Amino acid sequence: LSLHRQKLALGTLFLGLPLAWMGVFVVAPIFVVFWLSFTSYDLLTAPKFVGLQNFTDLLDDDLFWISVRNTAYYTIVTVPVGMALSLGLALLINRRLPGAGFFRTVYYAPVVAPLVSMAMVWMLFYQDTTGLLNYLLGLFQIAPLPWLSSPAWAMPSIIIMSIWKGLGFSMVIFLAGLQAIPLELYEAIALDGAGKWRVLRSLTIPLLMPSIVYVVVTSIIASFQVFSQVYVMTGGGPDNATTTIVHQIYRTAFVHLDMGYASAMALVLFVVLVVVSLVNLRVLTRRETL
Amino acid sequence: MAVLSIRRSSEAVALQPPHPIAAVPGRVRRSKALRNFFGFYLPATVIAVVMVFPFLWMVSVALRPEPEVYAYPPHLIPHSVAWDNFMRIWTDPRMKMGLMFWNTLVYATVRTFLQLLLSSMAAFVLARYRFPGRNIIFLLVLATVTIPHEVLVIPLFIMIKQMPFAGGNDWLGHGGTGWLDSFKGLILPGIVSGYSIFFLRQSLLHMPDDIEDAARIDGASEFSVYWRICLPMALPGLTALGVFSFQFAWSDFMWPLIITRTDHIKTIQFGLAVLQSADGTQWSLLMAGAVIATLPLIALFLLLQRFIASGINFGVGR
Repeated sequence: LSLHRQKLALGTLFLGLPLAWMGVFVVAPIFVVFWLSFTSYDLLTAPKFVGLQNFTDLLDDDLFWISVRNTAYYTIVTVPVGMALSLGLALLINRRLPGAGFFRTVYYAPVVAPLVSMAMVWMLFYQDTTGLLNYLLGLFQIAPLPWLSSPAWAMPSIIIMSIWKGLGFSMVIFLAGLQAIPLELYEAIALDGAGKWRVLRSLTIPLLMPSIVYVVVTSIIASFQVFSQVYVMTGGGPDNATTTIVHQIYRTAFVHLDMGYASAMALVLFVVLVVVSLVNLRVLTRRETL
Repeated sequence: MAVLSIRRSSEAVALQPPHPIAAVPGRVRRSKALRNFFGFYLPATVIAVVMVFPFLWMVSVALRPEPEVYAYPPHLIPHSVAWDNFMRIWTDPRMKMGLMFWNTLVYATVRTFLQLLLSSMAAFVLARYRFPGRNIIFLLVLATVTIPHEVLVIPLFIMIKQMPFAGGNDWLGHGGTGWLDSFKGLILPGIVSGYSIFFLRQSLLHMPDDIEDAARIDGASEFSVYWRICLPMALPGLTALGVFSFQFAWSDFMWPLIITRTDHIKTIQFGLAVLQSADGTQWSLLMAGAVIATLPLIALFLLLQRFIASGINFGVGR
């Protein structure tokens, strides 16, 4: 077999198989979801074409808009708070001192742990009468909070747990960004007599911008898809205070078996996420050309 | 923090010439040690305690007799240690821990292996071969990373349910349950992703051509170029992707939740969530289960930590 023909055969097989797989299980489903969103389908009888009915229904669906609002609430709090805290952590441990590596590992541990198990531990913390958090509040003479059992506090509870879980991920990305900044620049700005605050504002933050953009975009995407902790910790309650878009998609499709309507929700989420992802893709490809 | 260390060294430089006395460097050293303590070790330790506390609590509750779970005031160190919780989770018929552990291991291992295989095949061709259309194909592959898994679950569920000739289905996929509630349905849809191909291509891209060409001159087949030269050289990348893929599958919740019908493919995370919402669940046993479900991932992370730093940036493994 000549080299050329061998390459052709192997290349076709090696590239064709994964691509065909992706075609079936990643690309085709998008078209299926698009088509289903114009139908009414309960899995038992054949899908019935209903035109734009699902989308006009969505506009009037209070529960869907509640889930949009909850998802926005989760995103608006989690992304900036998580970013500020993880940047702080990265700045704190980005130094050549013994033990810095140990702390990095410790802060990253929650990222590695499985979300569902960790959500259950936090449910114990959040117990109304016997939970640790209310006990700690009591030590400071603060009245106990109805963490997961009240509409007002359920979402903040989920947010606190999620921030704890995700901090290490952004921290590691910031650390990589910080370590890429040449030391000479710090020396130069120190010779100019810049204070700590000015170094951060006019050197560190600007040079860290690619990492910041990346962290913001990936956190927004992840926040729009929040599901497991909601399902486990509150089931969307109390009083729909924590139900999110993906949680509504799940309930509509797999509890109410309304596949067409759920597909319409999924398509809306998809369009929003693609817009966010395009920014992400630009960051990724820019990195690659470096 | 680099900023601080630079400032410190520049101060030291400024101090050096006019001070020949030995006492001054000593004081500088002591104030430096103090600053390290208050500026780094103290806050870092406090934060570390907060970050690991949920793990400590999980272990603590897992080691208690059930009544002590709700003891008030709460305490971290169990008054009486119930080691047998870790025995009972394996024998308690409601938990089926052995089966869940095995299922999760199968799901994570097989998925990881297949993902490494298929992704490295595509990555090999996209990184090492030159052919017209290569860049377009690569961009299309990369574009699929914008498709979120959560949006795909509805069509994937329907496709898996209507898989022709499987689970009592006819050739049109009607009449049976297809691949629902089977390992095929659990594993196969997720084994290739744009991320994994992109990531492995990165680690194959910067290899020198010479080694490959030398092997070809020696008469190596294209397959052995892939298998014996490229894969070993991409080992750090493969390890990182493998760890991420394993972690993802081990922690996966939504897909098992959707396609599991009976116990026989029930994974740990899904199984624990079901138990938690059931009436009369014992939290001490549940936490013992959570410890078992968490331990493998923590161990894997500690063992292979140095390999996975390169992969963290891209969220690979989905």
